[in-house]
Amino acid sequence: MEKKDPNPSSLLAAAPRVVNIGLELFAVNLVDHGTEVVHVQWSPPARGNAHLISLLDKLHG
Amino acid sequence: MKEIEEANQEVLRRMLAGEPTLVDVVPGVQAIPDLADHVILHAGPPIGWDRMCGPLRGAIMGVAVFEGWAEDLDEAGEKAAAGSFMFHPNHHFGAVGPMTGLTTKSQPLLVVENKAFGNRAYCAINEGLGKVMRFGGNDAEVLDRLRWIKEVLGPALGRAVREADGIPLKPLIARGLTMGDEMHQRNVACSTLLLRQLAPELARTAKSTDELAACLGFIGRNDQFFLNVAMAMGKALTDPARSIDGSSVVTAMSRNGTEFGIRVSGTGDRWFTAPVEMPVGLYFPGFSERDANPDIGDSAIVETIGLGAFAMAAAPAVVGYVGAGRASEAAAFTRSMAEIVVGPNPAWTIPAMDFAGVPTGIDIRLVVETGLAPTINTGIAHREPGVGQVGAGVVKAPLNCFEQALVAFAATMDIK
Amino acid sequence: MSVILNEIRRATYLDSIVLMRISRQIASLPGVEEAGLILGTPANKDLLREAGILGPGGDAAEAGDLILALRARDEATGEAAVAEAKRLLDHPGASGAPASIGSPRTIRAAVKAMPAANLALISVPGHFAVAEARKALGLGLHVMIFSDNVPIEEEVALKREARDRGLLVMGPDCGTAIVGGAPLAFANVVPRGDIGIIGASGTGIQEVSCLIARAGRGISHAIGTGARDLNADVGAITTLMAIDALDANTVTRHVVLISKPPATSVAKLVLDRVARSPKPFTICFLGAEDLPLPANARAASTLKAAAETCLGQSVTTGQAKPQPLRPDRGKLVRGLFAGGTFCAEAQIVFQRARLAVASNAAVPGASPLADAKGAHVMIDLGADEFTRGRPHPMIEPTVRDGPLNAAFADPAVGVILLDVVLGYGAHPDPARHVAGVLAGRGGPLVVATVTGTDSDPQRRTAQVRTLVEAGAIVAESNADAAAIAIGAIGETA
Repeated sequence: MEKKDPNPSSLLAAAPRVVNIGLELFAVNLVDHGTEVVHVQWSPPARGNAHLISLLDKLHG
Repeated sequence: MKEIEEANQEVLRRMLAGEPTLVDVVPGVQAIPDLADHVILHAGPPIGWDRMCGPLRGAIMGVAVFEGWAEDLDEAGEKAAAGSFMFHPNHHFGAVGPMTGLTTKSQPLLVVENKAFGNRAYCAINEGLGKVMRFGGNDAEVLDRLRWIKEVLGPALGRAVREADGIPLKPLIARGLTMGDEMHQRNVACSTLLLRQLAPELARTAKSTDELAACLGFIGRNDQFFLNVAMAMGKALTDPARSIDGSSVVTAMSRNGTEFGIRVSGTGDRWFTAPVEMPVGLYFPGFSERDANPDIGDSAIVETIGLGAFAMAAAPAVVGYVGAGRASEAAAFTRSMAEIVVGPNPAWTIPAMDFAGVPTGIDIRLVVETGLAPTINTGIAHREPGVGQVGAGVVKAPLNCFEQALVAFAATMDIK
Repeated sequence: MSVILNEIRRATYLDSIVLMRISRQIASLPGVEEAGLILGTPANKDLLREAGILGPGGDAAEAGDLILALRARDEATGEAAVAEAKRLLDHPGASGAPASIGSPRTIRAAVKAMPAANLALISVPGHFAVAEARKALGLGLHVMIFSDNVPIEEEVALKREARDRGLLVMGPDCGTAIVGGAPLAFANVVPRGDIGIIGASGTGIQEVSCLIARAGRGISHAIGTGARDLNADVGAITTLMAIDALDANTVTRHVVLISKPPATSVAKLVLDRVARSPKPFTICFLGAEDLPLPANARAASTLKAAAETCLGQSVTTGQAKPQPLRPDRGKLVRGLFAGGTFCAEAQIVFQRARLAVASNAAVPGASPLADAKGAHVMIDLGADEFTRGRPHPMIEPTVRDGPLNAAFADPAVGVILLDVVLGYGAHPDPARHVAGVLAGRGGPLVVATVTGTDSDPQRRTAQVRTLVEAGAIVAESNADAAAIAIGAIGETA
């Protein structure tokens, strides 16, 4: 159920609600500032294996 | 890919639609006619004597003596090495077994029927805690107990279960989840509920008060009694979902102490194996990692249907027991596993997670993508046969199994 | 005889800041000459190779593996260092972020946990950044890519897909954005107001937004476009979408565009779009002269001028009093910049004053370092050659120590320029560190800038005081600092 209205203006309409992927520092700072953020504990897909990544791309379509 | 999503939804639908019922307890050969003399079913994917770990060999030697195929343990060992016994995975015959998980002709087997699909699955009766065959025990005490189970407990349970017209298991699980069980390392609530439910029929069909007292006592003293019922239930629930083309969902996870094997619906009965990992956990006093046996047992069937470590949020007490952190972190395990499954089970919900359903239907694509291997709560056996349980912990399914499965699964979809 | 030791940890990821902290601890062990802990992507393997610490062990790593590489004076020291590294890897240290078991592992799971999410901030290694960005776009999120080392063809393809979906891609190599008041990546705490900024440069956005704040005004949003958005290949996709967004944003009454000079065709594209906007624009294409501007746009050749133009007022409240050079010092200026845009701007101001400049990041008309010969030298310490395997100078002030000490030691250097950048993401007390290096030392004049506000965690006023007490002159903007340096050596800015 998509309530998103994809257009750049939608990003500016209110405080952003952020998904942070990568440096944890950025999520910590956003929390500190009071911005809504979810930090993703990211790791390379398929442990970085290029063949498996390519299979996954095809299998997820 | 739409085809895969639809196939996976079908697999999940079948798993959730099952109506598992404990309907009987019968001698092995009556449940599984192929259980002739010298046939020994074991936990995990196929394996030969040469590669078996200590506890598995110990159990095999013990069961050979129990069945009368050898005079003593030494002879049993020689016969085993000489190829006199036929070893097969439990899974190939509709059965499952915890730890060494041996299934043979004379042992009474719990019979769970999935009334929605008509299939049946089997598991031996849990021997109790301490020095037992499933941990590789094989001395006189162990064999005497197995004899008593064969001659007294098995038939008594069978009579009681038939008298009760079968025990539906889904509601029992649902209640157990609200009472702190996760059905792998913690079964005390379900064991108690089952005993409570069967007690009148046990009483009515008992041959004597002494026999009744012995059976009640045996079951009542065993916090893990229900594990074997849950395992047979797991097999009964997953078997109807076993060969759906285009599905990337796991239908079995199992270990033989040397290799970990998984089966995936879209690739049917193929096993994808990799070396088992070592459990990480807490040890009983006097024991440590040095004493531990590698991961073993068919009990991961329980995680395959969304229980065990997947339902850890229902069992905060288990977190400490398996040394996985603080009890307040239990929900984190369930949330993690939710990232690698098709969906929640609305019939089995966890109060502490606002009644979220247990995460069910492991999708190999998600496992490979995230690198999040299924977590399994497990007992830890001593590496030497005959010593017994030395601790409990968590172990992960090897990612390699899922990677191999992904390649094979992609091939079935003509993708390279 | 030094030994090189490599170990691989399969499928282990820790973010680069955590890894660098551990690398530095290992590198500082006695007898360890060089150490690196880094993900095994091809670009990273090159880094290790260049540092002379990649062995066959590390070379065999896959892109998802962690390489621990070090060079030590002997085997025993090396083994001990490896053991210590492993110990630190197993306990990376508490962070302020939520617990890691149960934190979502994928964007998909994060969006399930927060269905109203509308922006993905991506700072994974460049090798993986585009795939993650695509997943985010597929889930309907706008994207900010902090990561660099993304091939330009991938940037182009990604921005086109995003545009088709009506989603914004800020980046790659986008270090700063401020959206709805939220400071994203390296950004300052700036009051809300009616000036919108679109910038290809992070420090450019920081300087202009902070100058606006110190003048008592505020910004609506600062949209980062990534360093290459105005390349001919990319064709200003994000810049154009940002102009659309700020045009439609009722709070925004004035827009500032900040970039280095774009390709001619792209400049035209952008300025044509500016012409169609009902709002006034300030165009700061650093160093560009004589742009054909539409009626609603005015040019600013420096960041300070951009701030003054959009504010309609001066931003300097009083020049710092110039001091004479010491007689035992030469008249060369040495700029040591953490912000690449400040380095570029300083070169431009010096060129305007007809002074010869050289740099490792030379603007058109400036010489490369190899041909410095008597020119004033401006160093961008955040450039690739300095930051490979090492933290950026904005995070880690010690990176500047070596060059700073060298400038003090060189009698030809009469003036040192340096920038201190505050805000989220920056070092908690950069002025204290610089003051420590300066303290009690005579020698060259030190002219510093402090980019920040009093609402930043570091508090600008306190940072300025620390520097002044250590003997530095603190200019009010980077352009002012360059002008002060020029004045001090007896020239006219």
